[in-house]
Amino acid sequence: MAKNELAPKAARIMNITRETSDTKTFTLVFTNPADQDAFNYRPGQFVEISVLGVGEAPISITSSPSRKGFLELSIKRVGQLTETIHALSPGSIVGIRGPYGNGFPFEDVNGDNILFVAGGIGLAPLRSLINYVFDNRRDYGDVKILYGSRNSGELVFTGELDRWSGMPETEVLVTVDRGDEYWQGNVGLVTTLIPRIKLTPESYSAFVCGPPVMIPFVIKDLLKLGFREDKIISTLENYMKCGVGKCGHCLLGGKYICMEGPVFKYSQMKDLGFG
Amino acid sequence: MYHLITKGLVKVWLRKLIKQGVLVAPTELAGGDVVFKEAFTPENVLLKFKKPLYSVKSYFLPQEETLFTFHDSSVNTLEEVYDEFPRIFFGLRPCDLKAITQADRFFNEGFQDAYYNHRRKQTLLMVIGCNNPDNNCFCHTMGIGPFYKDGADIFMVDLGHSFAVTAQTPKGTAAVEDYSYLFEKAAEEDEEDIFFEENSALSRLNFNMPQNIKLPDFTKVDDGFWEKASRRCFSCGSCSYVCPLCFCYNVVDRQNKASQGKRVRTWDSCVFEGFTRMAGRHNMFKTRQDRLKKRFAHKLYQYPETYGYPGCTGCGRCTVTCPGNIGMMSMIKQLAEEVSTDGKK
Repeated sequence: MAKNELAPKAARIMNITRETSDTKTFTLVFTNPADQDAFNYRPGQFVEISVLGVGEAPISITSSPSRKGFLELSIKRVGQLTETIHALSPGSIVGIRGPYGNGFPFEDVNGDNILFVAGGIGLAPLRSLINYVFDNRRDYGDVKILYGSRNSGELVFTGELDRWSGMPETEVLVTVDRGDEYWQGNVGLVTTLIPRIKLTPESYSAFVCGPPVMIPFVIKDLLKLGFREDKIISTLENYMKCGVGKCGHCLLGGKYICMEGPVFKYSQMKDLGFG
Repeated sequence: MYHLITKGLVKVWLRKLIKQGVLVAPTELAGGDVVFKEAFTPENVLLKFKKPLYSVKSYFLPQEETLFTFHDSSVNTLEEVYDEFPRIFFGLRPCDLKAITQADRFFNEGFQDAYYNHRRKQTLLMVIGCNNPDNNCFCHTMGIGPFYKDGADIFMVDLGHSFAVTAQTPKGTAAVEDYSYLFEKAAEEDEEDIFFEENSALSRLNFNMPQNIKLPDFTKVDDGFWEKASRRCFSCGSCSYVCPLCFCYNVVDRQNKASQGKRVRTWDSCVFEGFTRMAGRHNMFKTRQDRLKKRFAHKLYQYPETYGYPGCTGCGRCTVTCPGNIGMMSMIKQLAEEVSTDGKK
């Protein structure tokens, strides 16, 4: 039976890691080994995950393609479908189709120093690229990672943040918008971390991912620091439904973001009427 | 090259063709409305007809279409559902034709939509030139015209006593040649009549809208223009539903109590508030004004950049259906007006 691309393929949940009170990371493996072998992706791409009878949603891939044989998705519980997925246990089968979108242009930044700025669950797509960079460490220069979330309870991948900070030529700074009695680190928006890092902007490429309110502020600060517009790379997370440039929900400035995006250089985002 | 078929024989011809597929043709409903409808015999098919209320979009992108079925939410039980009914479309107008050939591009460039292609490959398109455009027609300003025929299997012109018929594809040629005894060769004066009919239709269209109408640079249209227009928009979506070039769809899963389910796609509209609303209530097109601006920008500015022609066939159906009088024709006229009054307001 020749399946067309709009029909999802079966994938089994192998492992579930609880990141926060409302976010879990799911490790998936296609039930058909041929599907797993054929599934090649780039950091920054996304899949459409289905629970048949409930629906389908676009979720960015958080695992790195440099680690093969499985797929990781970090999913925040925000609606009906994600609620259903959160209730699943290891062994359950979900539907997956993709990967979709253009992904991060990691070839273009070969040799650059790299700054990652993430807010909240926005660390999920960046984690794919961060691990890709660490798995190909010799191709990239210094790495700086700035991460902020609303409060300490909403920080995701805390174990990995520790691991990354121990990597050579790497600096990791974490902040929370609102501190509490358990939090002893930085307090303030992620933009407050930007002046605290020392860097020469002309040698850096920046990858920015986070909630829509955060991105323009971070970009503004980076431009002020002297980052080039085509060296600031971010994502336009419009509502994506079909993933194949047909259903129209993600259309922006005449472009289907699910096909030509979601990753754009700031110079391109301006043309689409962003910011 | 044209052949002639007298009007009396057209239904004889259709009766032959109907064996190859379901006939879809203009039919009058009880209240006097004309719509494209499946006709099981050619008896009630109209040979002379006003513009059908709706285009044939729903035969290519149904209002609700099953993509696949499943049971017990199991991906392993998934079965794709394709519509492979052969259909013969009779009485399409050039605007209907253009919408289909554009859908061919849209559903095949970048990603090939199997559902659309299964339907489309089984069709015969019989197009009749438009001798009598109505008051809402402006196809001539949208890069087509009353006798546009690119992509039609068979193109016909109503010459009163008979139809001049020309076949343009192998499928169309077979449909004419297999019944060649019904046709005679067109004479030179028939060709002149065709030319005359086309020109008189064009002059009628020019009365609706001047052919050389110019749209202003989109970036120079100020937000006040869209704000004013959006005050008359009800966000009802009827413009998208009747538009032969609106292909946006929503995807929904349905499941019954016996755990039999299906995933369907349904028509959707960019003027709906929920169209771009995401989890967390984030919405890039929150206001009616934003959405209206996006809709017209896509059809009139971004479409030409992508395809070389506008995302409108000038069929005028949105003008008829819009309760706020912000159909495409009046908007194009108002936008053109923006240039001439530029700076003077």
